[in-house]
Amino acid sequence: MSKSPFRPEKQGVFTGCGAVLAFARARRAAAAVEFAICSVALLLFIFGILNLGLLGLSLSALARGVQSAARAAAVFTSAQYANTGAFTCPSPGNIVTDFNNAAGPALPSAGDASGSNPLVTVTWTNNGTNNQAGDPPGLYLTLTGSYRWSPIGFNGLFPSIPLTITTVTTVMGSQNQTTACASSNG
Amino acid sequence: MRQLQRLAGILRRRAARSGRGNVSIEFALVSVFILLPLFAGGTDFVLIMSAQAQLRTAFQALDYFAWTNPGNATNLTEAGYIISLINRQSDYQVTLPTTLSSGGANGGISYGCFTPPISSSAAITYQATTCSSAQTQQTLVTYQVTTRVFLPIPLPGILSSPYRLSVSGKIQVQ
Repeated sequence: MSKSPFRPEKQGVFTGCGAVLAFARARRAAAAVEFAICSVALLLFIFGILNLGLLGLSLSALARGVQSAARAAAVFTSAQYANTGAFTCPSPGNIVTDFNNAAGPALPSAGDASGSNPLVTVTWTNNGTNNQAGDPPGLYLTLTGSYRWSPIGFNGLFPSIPLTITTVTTVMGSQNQTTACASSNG
Repeated sequence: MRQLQRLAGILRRRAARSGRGNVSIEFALVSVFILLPLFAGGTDFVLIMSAQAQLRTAFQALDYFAWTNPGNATNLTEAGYIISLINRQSDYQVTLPTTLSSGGANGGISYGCFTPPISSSAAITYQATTCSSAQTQQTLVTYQVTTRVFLPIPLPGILSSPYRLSVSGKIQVQ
């Protein structure tokens, strides 16, 4: 019968340095202990790289949502203007709905109120018929999508990372109106 | 005290002749030379990707401006207004240089010419001058937008900071 590496100096009792010496001599499960120590660092790296991929996915969805929602809003307003001769702009709520539809499940549901995450900011600029200081006439929609992205697996360890995409769309044939559309409050 | 010295001696001898700790050393080497550079590169990559997404979006905004205002598409001041609206709310400052990196003016006009009727095999000739009267003419505007990204962990020789990005392309306006 082999001698146990954890055999204490006094049978049945681990006493003082004797137990430490016995542990130092022991080789059983050494690889498991080393793996346990290393696996913590390894898991951190794996989660870090996984999060980089998720961050890229969120960014891509944010850009897609902003571009699609801005285009849809400009086309809607152009069509309304062509039919009625007046601006009938989509509400910020409708733009947010377009954003959510385009962004898909990669992002949580967005809002246009301050504090929403993602936050969609709608700003209409109407230069009217004037062309002052090189500003082209017409109606322009500036749409910004902001998302504070948090990595998974590191709750509370790292601050959220702000992602922002901004685009501008031109409302076609809108050079002769002076009224503006309602911007969002976010 | 004697027992502690004995313990230290045992540990030294064991460390010298046993393979214990090999995994830790190997992991440390792999971390320094592979995992850390991978993570640093990944971080830079995400920042570059983020700037690239903003740059593409800005370029798309310019395209839409040119498409809806064909008469003013070559006016860099007006195109620059679109970029300035974006820059007010963007993390990255997008610029519209006056000249293209490939040469020629930013916002410059070129023409695509073909002889009707068009078919899938018909060749379109792209040129700087207007087409002949017998040909059908497409008018194209070329834009280029650029930006810079400040990388948190630049990799010398591979990813220098600031990293410059540019997007260019043509849009048919008429």
